[in-house]
Amino acid sequence: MDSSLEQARPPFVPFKDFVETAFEKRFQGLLHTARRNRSWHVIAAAPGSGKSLGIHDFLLRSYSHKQGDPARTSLPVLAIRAPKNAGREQVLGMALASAFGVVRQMSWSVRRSWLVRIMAQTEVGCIIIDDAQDLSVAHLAFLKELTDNLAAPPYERQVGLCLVAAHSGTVVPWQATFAGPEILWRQFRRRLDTEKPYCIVLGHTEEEVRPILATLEQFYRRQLPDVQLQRWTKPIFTWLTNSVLDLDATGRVTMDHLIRLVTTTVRKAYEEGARDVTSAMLTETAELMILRREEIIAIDGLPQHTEEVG
Amino acid sequence: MPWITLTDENWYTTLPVIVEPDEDECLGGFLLRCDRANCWYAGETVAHILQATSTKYFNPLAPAPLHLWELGRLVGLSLERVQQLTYQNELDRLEGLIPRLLLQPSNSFLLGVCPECIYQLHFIEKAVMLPFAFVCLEHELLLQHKCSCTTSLKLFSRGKPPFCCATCEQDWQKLPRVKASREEVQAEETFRYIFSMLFSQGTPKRLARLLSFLEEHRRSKETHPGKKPPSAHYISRLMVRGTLSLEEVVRELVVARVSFEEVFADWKNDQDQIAMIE
Repeated sequence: MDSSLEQARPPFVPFKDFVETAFEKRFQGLLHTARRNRSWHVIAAAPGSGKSLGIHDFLLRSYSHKQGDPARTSLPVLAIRAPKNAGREQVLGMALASAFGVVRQMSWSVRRSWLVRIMAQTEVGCIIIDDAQDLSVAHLAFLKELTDNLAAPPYERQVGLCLVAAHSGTVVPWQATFAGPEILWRQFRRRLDTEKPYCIVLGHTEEEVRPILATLEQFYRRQLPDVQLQRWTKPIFTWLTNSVLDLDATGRVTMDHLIRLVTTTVRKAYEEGARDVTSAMLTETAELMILRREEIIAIDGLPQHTEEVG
Repeated sequence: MPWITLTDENWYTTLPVIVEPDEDECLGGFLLRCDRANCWYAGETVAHILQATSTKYFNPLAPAPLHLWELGRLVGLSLERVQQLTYQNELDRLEGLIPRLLLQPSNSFLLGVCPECIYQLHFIEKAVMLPFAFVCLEHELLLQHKCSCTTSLKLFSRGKPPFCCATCEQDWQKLPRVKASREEVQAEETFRYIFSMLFSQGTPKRLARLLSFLEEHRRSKETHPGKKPPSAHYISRLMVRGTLSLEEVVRELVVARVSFEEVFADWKNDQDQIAMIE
């Protein structure tokens, strides 16, 4: 490629926006149900489906705000990520407290009662915990205590709960645990929604992949003027449901795999100065993802282009 | 009016519940309202400010700019807006010829609150920070300085709810409501007038002239035939020490039985002359 043209061309801009895909509609539909009905659900989906992005979008659209006059904070949806490798309930308490803003130093006994008061005051209606597979027994016991205290007088506030987890196969995290005979699990099980206690949200069918490719096509037209992605729906779907990528043989495509395939291919085409992606480019990227995903690349010599960082 | 959403980066650097200051509210009362709104004990907001700024002492009468800046950050307000909770801007305008000007020494400050203001709005007026404040002009009630258990009121009592006694935790809104007499109201209005004129019309030069006038007045009163003249200039002594409080200036004005109208009329004449020249 001509180096002067390369220098004049702006850097490649990958797609990073949130897309309301079929998966997100299914997933957020459950979150809406939990918020509306104050119901409890364990929701699982394959890694890379878009759970965290979906939670983030749901949170942003919950109209949470702080206002000074009158002094009022509204946080209808309280979303956090489960603490990693930290089984104590205090850690979960800190994570919940941080969702409100500045965290004041206080003893755990004070903080646990403070959390109940502040959640009631800010009208929390639904708690969403991402990566719920990382929760500990102590965390779950604290969640039960917290929601029980909110439901009791003087607050009398029912709160929905969504434990969102990554899963494998048909196993939903915590299902076996909640089926246990201990009182705590029986109490937890009792609180789960009657109709949809455990849910696996499936990825995209071939027909659902097409509109996503249409959105990506529209975005990348600014950089590849003639790009057409929708015509590659079938081969893309076939590649991304390969047994290497679709480990559970769901026959569905995750958003992560789809974005990765399209972004890598479009970037390559852009750097080569092309105006559209070709079958060869897509195939090459698919091979990288399927056949060569465990390949170790030796980095040697000096890079061709040095990008300024910062 | 501060309005913060989850997309704003200061969602996580502000208090869980932010509060907007009321008109003419004092800093101490605003901090207590922050504590109350966030379901914290009294003084927790201050404790957070001290921790965030790595400092140990907070002066609600003359707060450090760093503390005010941090408070503004916590409630999503500008430094200028937070400064309006104090008289620091007014004092800064009067300083210049005096090394350091205070409203009143910290150790002479006695917190007084109006039970009705607390009851209605959990409000402590900025004017209670002024020396000699003893009446709430809004409700014409005497400010209460002590709880019924005889404990002096304190702004921040560790481990106690805001707006409550440090000892018995009685809510300040339950303090007795004692009606001020007509004379007491008039005296309070006079003091407020003096301070409002000092703040609105005062300049470093005018303050210095006023101090000189008070000095001469004192010397003339203290000089008697056959007696030794007064040893050192009272107000000059204060200025040599580097600190002067408006409390002492106003006390001297009252003791000297000076006509405030004449003093401030002089200032007004000054202003007219300057305007004419310009």
